[in-house]
Amino acid sequence: MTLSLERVQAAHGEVRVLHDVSLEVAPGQIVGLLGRNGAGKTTTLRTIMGLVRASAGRIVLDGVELARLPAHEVPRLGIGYVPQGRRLFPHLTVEENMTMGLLVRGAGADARRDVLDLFPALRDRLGQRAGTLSGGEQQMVAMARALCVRPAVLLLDEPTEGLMPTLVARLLDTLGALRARGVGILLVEQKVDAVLGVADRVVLIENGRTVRQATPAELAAEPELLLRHVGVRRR
Amino acid sequence: MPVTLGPHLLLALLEGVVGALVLALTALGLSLVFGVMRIVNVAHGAFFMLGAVVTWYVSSATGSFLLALVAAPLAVGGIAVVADRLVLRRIGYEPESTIVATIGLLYILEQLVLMTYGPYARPVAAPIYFRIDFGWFGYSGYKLVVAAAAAFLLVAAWLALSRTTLGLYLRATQQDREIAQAFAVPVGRVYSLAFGVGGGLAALAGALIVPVQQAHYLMGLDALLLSFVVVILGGLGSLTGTVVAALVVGLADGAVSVLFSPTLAKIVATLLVGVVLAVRGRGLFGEELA
Repeated sequence: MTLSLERVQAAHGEVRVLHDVSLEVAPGQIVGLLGRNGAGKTTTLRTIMGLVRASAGRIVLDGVELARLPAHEVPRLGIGYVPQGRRLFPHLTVEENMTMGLLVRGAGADARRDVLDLFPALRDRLGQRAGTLSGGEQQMVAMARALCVRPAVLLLDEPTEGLMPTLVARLLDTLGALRARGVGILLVEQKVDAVLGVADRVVLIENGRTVRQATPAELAAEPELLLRHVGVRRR
Repeated sequence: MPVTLGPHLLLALLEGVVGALVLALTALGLSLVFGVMRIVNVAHGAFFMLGAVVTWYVSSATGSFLLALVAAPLAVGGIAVVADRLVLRRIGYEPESTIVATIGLLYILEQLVLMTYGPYARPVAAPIYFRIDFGWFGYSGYKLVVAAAAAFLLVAAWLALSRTTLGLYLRATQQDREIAQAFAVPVGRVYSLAFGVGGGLAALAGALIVPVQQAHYLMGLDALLLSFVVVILGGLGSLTGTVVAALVVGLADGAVSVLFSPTLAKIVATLLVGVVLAVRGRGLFGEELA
């Protein structure tokens, strides 16, 4: 299933945050979304999920116009979401957090087992309240909860935030494994090197507008693009 | 003539336990509504009163108290769902607006009952009548049945919240409404359900207690006051806290009512809230539904 955004606009109350966002995520493709703080990366993901209403433009998944659906219908079409700051249900157990994902599309024991195979450390934590886990474990639960949806498209907002380098590497490996299974991934991330290392394509966003799309190789060849639009100078 | 305290204490204990369990059932509805929807439902006492009045109507018309016990929570829960859809949803569940709206709902319900049912306190015959002899005095068997039924319903509510998908959705919505939506929870329907079940629980408590108290259009005021005391004391949104606080307040209320006066009991309960809030602002059990 391909997710596409065409000239999307969205606002927080009276303040328009997205002015013109267009991008596409194809099956088995990792698309990085890079931009400065406040550029509209998180709002883009929230708008896809229906948590912020799109005021113009189209958001389409497999021919279905998402912006017309109530927010709770969007994940049922096969979109998994790892929000910024993880936002687990802290008083629910790890098992219950995963169940929230499993219930979205009626996934069963197979999905649960597959996800636990990806994050075996969670097997010993299933009965523990999610809010009592370490930061790294919470990130695993956030990923596990989203993967329990059996998503065709996965939206990740700062998934490496607060993780040790070894855990970041493992997380990026996991993204590669998901890509190999045909999952399309839209990755918002502050760690530019991490994005360039794993993404097939990168979309640059500035002041609520997508301004450029390029491959990691093209961005490596034109480092001034990252400096201009993301504020990052690469060596 | 020597005064023995034993019978008074036993009577206070019995009255306290019965009152505490019914109070826990009533307050559970208020706690559920606050926990999930983050609104203060001032009309909760009116739902309790409506439960008693509907019980009087149904049992008078059909002669079946059991039928009334089923009809009252369903009817009042239905009214609560309609009120949610027509009023609360339209004002976006904004905290201050919902307080004003539920005060309005309280007056509308009370005045409708006054206009149709009248200002009288009407009795409903208990479905079963027997007395248990404690030596010093005989005690109403029906009151003990009420306590047992309330305890059973509290356990059932706990199981529903902690073991069912619906309970999982309610708890998830309480903890993060937005992320619950991102995991396919229809939050609007969950809100209606919480308000309906909250009203239904209050009505059930009113229906259970009406053979003991009589149905009257102002009977919800004490229930509302004590429910607020219990929910604040236990910690807003905490089921465990609600039950523990109801036991504390109910037993204290029973003891002070029997040994001194019911008015002093209400004063003590209110002071108790003041002390707990001064020492522990979030109540005894914090912020969690089950």
